Amino acid sequence: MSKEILLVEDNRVMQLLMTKMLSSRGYQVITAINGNHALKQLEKSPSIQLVLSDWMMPELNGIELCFRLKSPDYGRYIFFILLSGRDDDDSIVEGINAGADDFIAKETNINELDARLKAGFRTLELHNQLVAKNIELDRAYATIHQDLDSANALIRRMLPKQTSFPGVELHYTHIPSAQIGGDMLGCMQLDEEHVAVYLFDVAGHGVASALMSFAIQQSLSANTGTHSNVKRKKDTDPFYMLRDPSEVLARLNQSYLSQDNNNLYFTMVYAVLNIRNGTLSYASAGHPPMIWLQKQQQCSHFIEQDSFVAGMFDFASYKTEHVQLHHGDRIFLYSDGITEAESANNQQYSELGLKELVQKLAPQPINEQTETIVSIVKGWCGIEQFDDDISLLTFEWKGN
Amino acid sequence: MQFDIIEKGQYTVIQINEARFDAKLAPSFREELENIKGNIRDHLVLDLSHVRFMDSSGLGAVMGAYKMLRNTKISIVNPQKSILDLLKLTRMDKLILSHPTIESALAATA
Repeated sequence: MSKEILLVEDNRVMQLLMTKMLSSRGYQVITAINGNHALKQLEKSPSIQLVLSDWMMPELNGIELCFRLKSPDYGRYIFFILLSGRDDDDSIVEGINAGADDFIAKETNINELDARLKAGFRTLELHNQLVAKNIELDRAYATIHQDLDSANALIRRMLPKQTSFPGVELHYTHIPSAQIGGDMLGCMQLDEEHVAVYLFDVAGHGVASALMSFAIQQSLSANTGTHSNVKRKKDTDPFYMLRDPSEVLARLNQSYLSQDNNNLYFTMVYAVLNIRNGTLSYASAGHPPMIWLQKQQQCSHFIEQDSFVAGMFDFASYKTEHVQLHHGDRIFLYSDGITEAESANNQQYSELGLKELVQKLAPQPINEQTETIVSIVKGWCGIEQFDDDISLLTFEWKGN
Repeated sequence: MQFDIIEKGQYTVIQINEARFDAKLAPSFREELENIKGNIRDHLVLDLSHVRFMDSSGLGAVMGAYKMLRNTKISIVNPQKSILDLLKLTRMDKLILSHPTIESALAATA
């Protein structure tokens, strides 16, 4: 960096003397005759960062000048050295309060003066590097932020648009956390009799989790034709068979087995509802239990299944189980973002809490119920933005 | 200290001294494990007495340890109920056994 110094001194002889001395040590000296003049000189030369100023001057004195240059509104970082014949304690205190970085007595010899100026320039160098790094960081942060926003928008587009099928009505809430995460959900009509509903949660936050969640969503929704992760080819009419939920999970598990150095995995529930007779077939991969709200009895149960998470172990296998719904029954799929949401005193909402809430809100229509659940949990946490992704999907079997 | 590590010949004990085994702690746990994995012999004991909450990242770190140390027996000591529930839900209780104390975890080796 350049070694520019602004020397502020009202005594012409003194000014000349010091200019000569400093120039002989390689400093580039710009001068001013008082505080006001100094402000003008600084404005003219935006690269000056070191000011060596006399104390007593007409118009604007050294202390006042220091005070102005050190105010947060002044847009430049200045290393300010007060130069004075006075070195009594009171004036030093006054100088420090005004923000001066160093004090030099006028009669100080050139070697000491030079050493102190060098120290000042070292501080400036450090400061300037820090500022430059901060600007770089701010830029990088802005880029990341922008990328995350675009990723969020993409994820929103992967969410199901159709939520009403013959015999089934579905409603969901999906709120990605600030850093985006790996929650995703979906539903699709497999054939005239079957609707698939699923929800999964890739562990962790950020780009890696979101990318994986994106990929899994693609592998599931690409079910055109007769061969896919959810259907299998058959030689006779209708030339396809629905894959068992356990088989769907097993295939996803194999496709997304993680490498040893990353521990990306996901938990998932995949369920297929027979819309004619209300049989729900499901399999879980380490996912929190579904909640089953029975309309007639007005009570809620867990549908639990202990099973390995997906994408972690090559030996994991899954099992399909069935429950028989009655019309008006609802099933709730959710991620741990809701049940692990914490109140101010670190109490988690918990699965049990959610199950009770589902039962309490049973009289509400389905779309209202999911939204009320999320807003009640939010109110319970006392926050506006959840720490984790929140996803909740509910469907009701309307019967025949 | 987030972890205390006791290396005693055949077995290594990692005591986790944090109330939350979550996304914030999991990376340093993995790093720590990476550092000491060469010294781990027959049996790795994870003492979870202080852990009140384990999230999916914490669980991921434990599963990662299981995968990294294929030939090492791993035990968990003194997990709280919420952690036991999580291990059971994900069937990790079948791969990593839990014990009430370090002594009982070590006795089970013999």
